Amino acid sequence: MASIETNMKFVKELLNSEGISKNERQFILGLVEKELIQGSLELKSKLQESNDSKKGIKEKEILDEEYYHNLSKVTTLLSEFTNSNYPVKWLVHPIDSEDYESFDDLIAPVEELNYFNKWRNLQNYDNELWYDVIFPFIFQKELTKLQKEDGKPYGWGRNKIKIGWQYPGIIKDWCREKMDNKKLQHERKYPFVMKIPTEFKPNRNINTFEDLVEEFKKEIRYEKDNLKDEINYLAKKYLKKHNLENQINFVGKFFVNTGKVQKAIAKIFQMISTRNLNLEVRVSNSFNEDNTVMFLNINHLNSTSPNRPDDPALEGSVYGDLEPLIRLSRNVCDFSIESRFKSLDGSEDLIPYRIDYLYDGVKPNDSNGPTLIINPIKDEEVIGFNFRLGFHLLKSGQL
Amino acid sequence: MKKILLLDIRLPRQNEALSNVGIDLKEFNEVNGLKNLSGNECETCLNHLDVNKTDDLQEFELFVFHESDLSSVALKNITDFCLQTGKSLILFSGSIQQNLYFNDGFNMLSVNSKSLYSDKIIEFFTRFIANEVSHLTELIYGNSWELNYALIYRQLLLDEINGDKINHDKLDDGEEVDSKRKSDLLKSCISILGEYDKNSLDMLIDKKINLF
Repeated sequence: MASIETNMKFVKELLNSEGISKNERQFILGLVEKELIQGSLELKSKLQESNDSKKGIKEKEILDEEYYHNLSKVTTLLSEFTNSNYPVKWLVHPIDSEDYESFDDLIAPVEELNYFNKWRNLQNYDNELWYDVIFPFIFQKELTKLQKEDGKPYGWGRNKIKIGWQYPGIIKDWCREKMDNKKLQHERKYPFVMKIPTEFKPNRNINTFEDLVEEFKKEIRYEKDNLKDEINYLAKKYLKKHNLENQINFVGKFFVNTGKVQKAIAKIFQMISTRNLNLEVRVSNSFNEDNTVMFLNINHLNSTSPNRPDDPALEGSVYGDLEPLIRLSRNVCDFSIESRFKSLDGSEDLIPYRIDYLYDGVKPNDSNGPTLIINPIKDEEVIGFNFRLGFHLLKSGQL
Repeated sequence: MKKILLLDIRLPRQNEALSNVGIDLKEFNEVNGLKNLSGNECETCLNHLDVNKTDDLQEFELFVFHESDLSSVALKNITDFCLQTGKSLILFSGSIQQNLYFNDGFNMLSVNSKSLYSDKIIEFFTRFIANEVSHLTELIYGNSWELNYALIYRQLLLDEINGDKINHDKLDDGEEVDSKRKSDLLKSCISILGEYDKNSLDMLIDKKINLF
């Protein structure tokens, strides 16, 4: 095959040769342009393929079926914070038990190696939840290597709060003075009443360590109408032109990485905000038959999909539109979309389908996207383009 | 006679909380109309709630449950049951920092354990059973509950006039954490009293004070 340089030399000579007409010159230039574009596309495609395969190999090494989407593991672990049988409960709940007389009484059971390893395994399911929330608040004793060497600041949660149970040692020092070795109950104080030094307060409403614990609980749990409030807040920020009808009527509680849920909802609102043909958005909640899954339905009313449900754009893999949402939702919530799509049988009719991306038992496909389940659904169930997030609620026996 | 169902799975904690306010558990359990579950009865009740079995709840008008004892599913089922039947629910826990009242189709009060296990608990339960309680917040404020909420409401309006952003739906970026507690309290006040401006609230407060 001739090199690019040889071809260019030939074209140059041809263009410089006498007796070539203006039209012929234009024709040759047109051919050259076409060749160059085609070549550039082929090159781009080859580069893309190469990048994909590199990415594929890299992600293939990371993703594991056990850790791909295993909500019951994460939810069960987080619910230990509300269960008296587990030591982490007493780090987020006022101590109403005689068993705890010192800082070490509280921390030692949490640090027991098997127990710590069970929690550390959370990083395989939700790296951010472990490293940005749970580890720095509960387990971290000193700055990590990254924090020491690269100056990455210590802090947990969305407000980067700078006091944890063990770092920087403020709680331990306070307990040594006010809690440890006080044999008489009325003399013993628990760290929840500790006043927070001004320089550590994330906002003016935080006064005691108990207030910070409440901030921590907001990172791992929705309760009462917090989710409804969060949706109103995010809609105000991201849906400037659209009207929101917030029908959420859930006053219960469930455990989840709320930081990621917030980002996922923000992402959905951002996607809706770019589609201005229909301006009504309805957010509601529903439940499965035995109330063990709460669905958050974010419905862009009257909106349909221009694609077939098996269109590559809807695959949810690295280059799909929905990839960021899948990434945020893995090990956080189940995820589906429901809408009218172009029919799978090739006709131009719009047919209602649900595409399940993340669900119980989902496995990664060859490109590390989720293995989709595409099912037709009842026409009356579809009122627009619905983003459906499924949150798992636990029963007593699962705690 | 109305009946009350109380579920607090850790009996020693309940015993201690009551004795701290001078109430003997035996005396407490003798309140006619109160069923204070213990041991296996708690487990059975929670297991039934998990699978939405509510037949044995029908005879009660008020459920008083320790929040941590309820699984997410049990909490969903009991709130659905109260919504369908118009019965009332009090959730309590030592970790509840702010007492809040909700009315999204049924009466629900969320209180700190100390607000429940106070020296007023027997009186409140007895009056509830005798159908003499007009609002769940009497558990916290006795018969001055309206006046107390009017005063709290007034203070929140004054805070807002003085520059605090309280209405959650109107907040700007980054303000949500600061204002959430006041916003929740404002919602409670509006649920209890209805919506007022400061002047009409002043008139309501005068009226309530004159009743004392």
